Amino acid sequence: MKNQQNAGDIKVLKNLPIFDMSSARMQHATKRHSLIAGNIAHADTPGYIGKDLQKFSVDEMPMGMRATRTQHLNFENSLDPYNGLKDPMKQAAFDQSLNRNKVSVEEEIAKAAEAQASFKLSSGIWSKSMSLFMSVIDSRR
Amino acid sequence: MSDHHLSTMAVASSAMRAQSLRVRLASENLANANSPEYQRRTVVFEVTNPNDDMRDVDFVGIRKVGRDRSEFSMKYDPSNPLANQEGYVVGSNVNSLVEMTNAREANRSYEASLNMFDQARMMQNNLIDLLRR
Repeated sequence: MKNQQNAGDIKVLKNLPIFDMSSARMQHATKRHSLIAGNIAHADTPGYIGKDLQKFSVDEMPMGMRATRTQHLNFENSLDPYNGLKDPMKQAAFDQSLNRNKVSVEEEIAKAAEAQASFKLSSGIWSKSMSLFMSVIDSRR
Repeated sequence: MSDHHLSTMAVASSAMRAQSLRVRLASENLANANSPEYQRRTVVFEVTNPNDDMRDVDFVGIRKVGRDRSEFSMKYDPSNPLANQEGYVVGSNVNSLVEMTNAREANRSYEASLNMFDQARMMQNNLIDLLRR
């Protein structure tokens, strides 16, 4: 009986979903931050329409891409946690300038802060869980 | 993960390069505001992707550095050696208010990209710190 329980524990340790989840969320935040940087960079490019990712969700975790654009199907790594770009045309931007540029820098800055907070949160979770494991392994810590 | 950080920094620096060209052109125009028959220079940005490693990243490129072909300013000054027969001197087509606004806007966009660069660097440091534990 005792042995069985130990085996179950090891299985939990093997999968470590908390680490999977937090690192997937970190990846999502990083990718989103990169897209936002692109949007801000193109704030003065005529006709540019901003890009964004869909919200991160744990339900879609074992993590096929949900492609909304054909260009984004051909990633080699099917474990990519971010799933497809939002269709940029449908995204309601705050304003549109004379050169048909649809990037609103104010909106993008808000999104960048959001992505950064999400990154901080998930890296915090990662390190907290790691120190939890470490405290079990090494009780002197 | 960290290659997204790298692409963030690459995009931000391409934007900063483009915006500093814009500031440079604005200051060239301002400097030549009193040069006769000077056509102000303009710049148009575009989306480029010179880099095969980062296929899904939109870099900022320069589509064209052009000349503004609008009319020159005319000033009545018969005593000027450059005056034509009606006594008008042909100036440049630079409007210094427009140039100042342009330079200010370029400056702001530059700062925004610099902030994104800094944020990406902070996030990357954060990531590296996880390894130190």
